[in-house]
Amino acid sequence: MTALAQRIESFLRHRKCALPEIGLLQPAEPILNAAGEDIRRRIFMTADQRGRDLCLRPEFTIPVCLNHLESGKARKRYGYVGKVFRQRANEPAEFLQAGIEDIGAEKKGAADVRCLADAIDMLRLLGRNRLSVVVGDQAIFEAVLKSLGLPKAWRERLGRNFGDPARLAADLDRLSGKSNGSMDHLAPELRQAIEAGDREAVESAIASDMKKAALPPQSGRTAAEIAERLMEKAALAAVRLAPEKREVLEAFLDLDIPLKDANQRLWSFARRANIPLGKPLETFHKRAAALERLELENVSLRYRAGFGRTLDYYTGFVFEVRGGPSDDKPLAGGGRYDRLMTVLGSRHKMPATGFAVYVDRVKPTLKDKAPKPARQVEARS
Amino acid sequence: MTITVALPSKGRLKEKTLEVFAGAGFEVELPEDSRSYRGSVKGRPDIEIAFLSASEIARELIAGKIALGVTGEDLARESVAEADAFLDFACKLGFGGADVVVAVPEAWADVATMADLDDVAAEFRQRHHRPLRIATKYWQLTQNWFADHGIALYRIVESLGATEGAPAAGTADIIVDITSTGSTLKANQLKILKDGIILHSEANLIASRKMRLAKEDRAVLKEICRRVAEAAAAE
Repeated sequence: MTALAQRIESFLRHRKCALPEIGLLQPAEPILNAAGEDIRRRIFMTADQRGRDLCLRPEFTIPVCLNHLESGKARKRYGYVGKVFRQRANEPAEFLQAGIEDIGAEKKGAADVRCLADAIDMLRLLGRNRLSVVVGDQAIFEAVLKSLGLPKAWRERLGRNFGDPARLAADLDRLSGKSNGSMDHLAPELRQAIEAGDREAVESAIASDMKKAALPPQSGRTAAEIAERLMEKAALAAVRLAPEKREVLEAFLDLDIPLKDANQRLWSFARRANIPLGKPLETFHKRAAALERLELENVSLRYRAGFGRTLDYYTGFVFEVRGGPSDDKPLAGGGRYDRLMTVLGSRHKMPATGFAVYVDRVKPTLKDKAPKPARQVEARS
Repeated sequence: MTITVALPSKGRLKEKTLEVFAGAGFEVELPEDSRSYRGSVKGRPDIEIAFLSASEIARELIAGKIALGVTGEDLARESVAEADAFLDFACKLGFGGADVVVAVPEAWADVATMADLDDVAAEFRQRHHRPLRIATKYWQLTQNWFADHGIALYRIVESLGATEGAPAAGTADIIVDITSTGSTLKANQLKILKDGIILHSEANLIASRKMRLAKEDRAVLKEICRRVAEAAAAE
């Protein structure tokens, strides 16, 4: 093990992290299931003699979570440092990553703050002192959508594309347009049943189509599920996103402000738009205040309302750390992924948060003395 | 110096290709030994013909082992990510047309577009505890297409034949497949999404971008491309 990895490991032990043994070769199935098929193009796949798909470890979060799930423990913090393998444009495919995953911590605010503080400390350990952090929060965006009174189907679509400005803009265009899905491709009887609001007739028409096509009734979409979405779609077909609501949404997504002003700005934004943001804003405020209390020297904190991750298991607070605001690539990234554990097979919900440092991008210089910890508030939420 | 042109080794694709080449003034002489895969062009000692399978032609062009070839655009684009960096699609030949499409069961009355499919894929895992499954032999095209539409939550189930039967067999929920008339899809109660045409494919004359050619060979290659394009346009 290199001196660098040793130094990071001792930092992690110091932060009371368990250091699980995570193999270089990982089963591909859970990774593809959680992150989606698209990640296949960016990882290195292989298969064993029995045809089981394996991949070179593309990251640590999913393997660490699987490890935790297997252990049956309720709460634990894990740290790691090691090589990961990903096909990247203009960067080596084999690179060093280090990070912490905090699984099962119920005091979410405190865990969020600690997560970012640990990321900053790790970067400092590696010789980076001047840092620029952007934070985002999907929960605030979802609160805005909800208090604007948008239908559930629309909220879900927009929520899914949160963090991807181009896709979000395309969604808004579509929802503002005249037609949100025409019904004229449907058979006349089915259309009549929809117009009459006869849910039962719709469902039985679909069920008979399924039977005709010999679709297996036990796997995949059910007639009830299709009928439900069809009725919902019909109800929304004539509805358009009102221009004033769209303006509110766009004004919100444009917010890019110092974190210390964010609470004030969000309050006045919500008041002007007449949309109460309630609990999510309160949570946001507490977290932001706790981050300010850390008094991080040489660290600028900004809130960007449109910043988020498009992976659907990220649910709330997210952040990225750069060496400067104009740096192209982040040195570290992290956030809250409360939905991942259930995706990986956990029977009950399990909150989790974590971060990863791209050690190779940091170009580490090791100092002899351990850095002063950034964290002065312990577990206050 | 000679330049090697790879042509399909069998079937309608071969016949049609030879027709177009003849129309362009390149009369391909088949090997006398029927087991040989080498041919020539009458009066053109500077051109060599290799008869290969259509998918092999795509691979060899990408690898830069042959300079020019005729194959389906679907195979060429399926064989490598960012095909345009490897291949120069010189001209369409006007035959072998078929579409690579996204098709879902007709019973999915609520799904008419990719946007609908996006909604369905997103909630599929929560409802069924597994991702939406797509049967296809077109990994590359499917991944690119779904990424372009912002859909990540699905899994590909590889299918090497009778893909249209996968939904009824329960091995996949939807398919990405090639179809020329759509009748096989219809017979299997599948419908093509309104904006679900991934590629209008047909036979193409394709030059490799990965092969270095001597100046005179480059000139021959350009001559073939120009004359074949003219002949194909005149058809």
